[in-house]
Amino acid sequence: MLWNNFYLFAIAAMLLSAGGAALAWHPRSKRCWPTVLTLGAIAVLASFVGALWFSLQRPPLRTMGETRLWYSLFSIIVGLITYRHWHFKWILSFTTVLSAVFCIINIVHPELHDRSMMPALQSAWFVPHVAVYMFAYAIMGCAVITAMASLIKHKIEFLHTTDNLIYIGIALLTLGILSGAVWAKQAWGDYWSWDPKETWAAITWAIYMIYIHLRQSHATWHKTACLLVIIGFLGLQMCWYGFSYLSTSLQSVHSYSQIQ
Amino acid sequence: MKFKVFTYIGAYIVASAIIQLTGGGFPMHFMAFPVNIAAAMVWTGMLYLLHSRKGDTEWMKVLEGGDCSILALVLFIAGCLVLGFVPQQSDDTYSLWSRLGVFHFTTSWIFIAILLLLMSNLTLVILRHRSTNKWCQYRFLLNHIGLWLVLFALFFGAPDTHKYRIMAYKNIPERMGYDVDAQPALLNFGLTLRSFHVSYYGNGTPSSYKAEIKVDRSAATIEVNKPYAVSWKEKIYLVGYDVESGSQSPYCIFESVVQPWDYIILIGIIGMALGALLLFVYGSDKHKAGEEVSDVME
Repeated sequence: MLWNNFYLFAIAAMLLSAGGAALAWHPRSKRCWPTVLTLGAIAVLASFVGALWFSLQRPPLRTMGETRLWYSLFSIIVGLITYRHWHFKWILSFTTVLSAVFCIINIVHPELHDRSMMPALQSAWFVPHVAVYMFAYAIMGCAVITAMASLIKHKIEFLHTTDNLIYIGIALLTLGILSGAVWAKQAWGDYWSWDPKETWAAITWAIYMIYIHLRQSHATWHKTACLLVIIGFLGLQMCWYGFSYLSTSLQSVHSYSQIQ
Repeated sequence: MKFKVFTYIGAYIVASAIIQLTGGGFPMHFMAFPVNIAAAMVWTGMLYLLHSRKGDTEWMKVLEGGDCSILALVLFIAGCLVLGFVPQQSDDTYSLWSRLGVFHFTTSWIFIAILLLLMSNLTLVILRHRSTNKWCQYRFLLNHIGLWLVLFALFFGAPDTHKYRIMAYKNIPERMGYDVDAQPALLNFGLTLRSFHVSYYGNGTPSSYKAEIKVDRSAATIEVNKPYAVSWKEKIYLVGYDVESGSQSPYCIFESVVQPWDYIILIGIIGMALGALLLFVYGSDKHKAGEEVSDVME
């Protein structure tokens, strides 16, 4: 029943977030009001996540819809942190749109939710692994926005922000991969087995690694750096859900069939 | 000079493709202990000698530099894309793609060559920046040495990894396992399935699997995510049962995984995790992270 009411939470959260984003543009507005409204949006979405967790009696991180929910929440959080730290008045608008897109997908494509969680997911690594990944995805989403702003506006300031976001994002991606490796060892006996999802995770990680090395060795290659952020984000989409459309996904243990 | 070195790297990859075409996939079994240890020592020793004796030459500076890291990462991505798009282990005719090893790409000479290039560059970068008095450079060392340990142990340890499927019927001690090629092998322990239980959610999906076993004389319980450690290098996993019979399944399928390099991988993972935490805390902020950014990478 709770999931049927998601649209109410989503509308409330998006109105608050949009309100915060609009106020951020206002020349006379202090930063506290956009912050308060965005915090309100975060509180609304977080309370829905909490209630869903309680009603399902398991972490709501199992289905695509559930991960989209976390992505919506984390996008607004990352947007707010970026706004507070670097004072970009436009960032809240973009993260609100990003979050709204995923909320709308969840409303248009509601999923059946039940309490069941296959044994392979019943691990202490489940929540940190998925949550860290979703937070990294949200940060990289924000990095794409700042990289595109840098490409369009030709402002180095935006690229510096992208640098900061990518460093934090890659740290979380690394922790996500490592926690996944330790969990895979516990569940299946191998730290790494070139499972399709693992492979796309490695591709994404390597793309962002190229970005970091390129920024060190060719600091003036701004365009290439920005394009890498966009390519990395595409890789990230493949890793999140895109790989499941490929024939290789049939070999993935992440499809969780049988005893796995 | 950079162009020249990169041309040689290109030739190196082409050479690996020619070896793959003419001789087939990488002989993984041949590289099992102690050959892998010898190969690892020769490889690291050679890189150390190159670094210490030829470190000042232009071509070594290119090999130890950031551009070579980028090239190695690009090649690594290219290899991963093959794995990402082409279903592996598929039966194929003797097409060119098949002969290039794209259907068994993790054991193809091309992918091995790419991994070796990546690790070689990583080794040289670590050797070049290993001595430091700046605490902030520990982040660099943790990330790079951690990754090096993980890649090193996965790469050289792969031939020492063995898996045996064990089909154990209730109350009948089983000492035979079957490797990935379905070849029988005598286990160094006896496994007896004492009981098996499946629990279900209300909608009929399984919520847990539990097998009570005896390994030699020791009683143990195996569940998914809770393997049984036979020794420091060997663990037994529960992988299957007769789904139709549920808890009444007369047998269970177990998998024994032998991986003597586990702890090296784990140390590497811990190093990388600490490095990632430092990345998270200090980010790319040059003021906070000291001079690492400008100092470390070429």
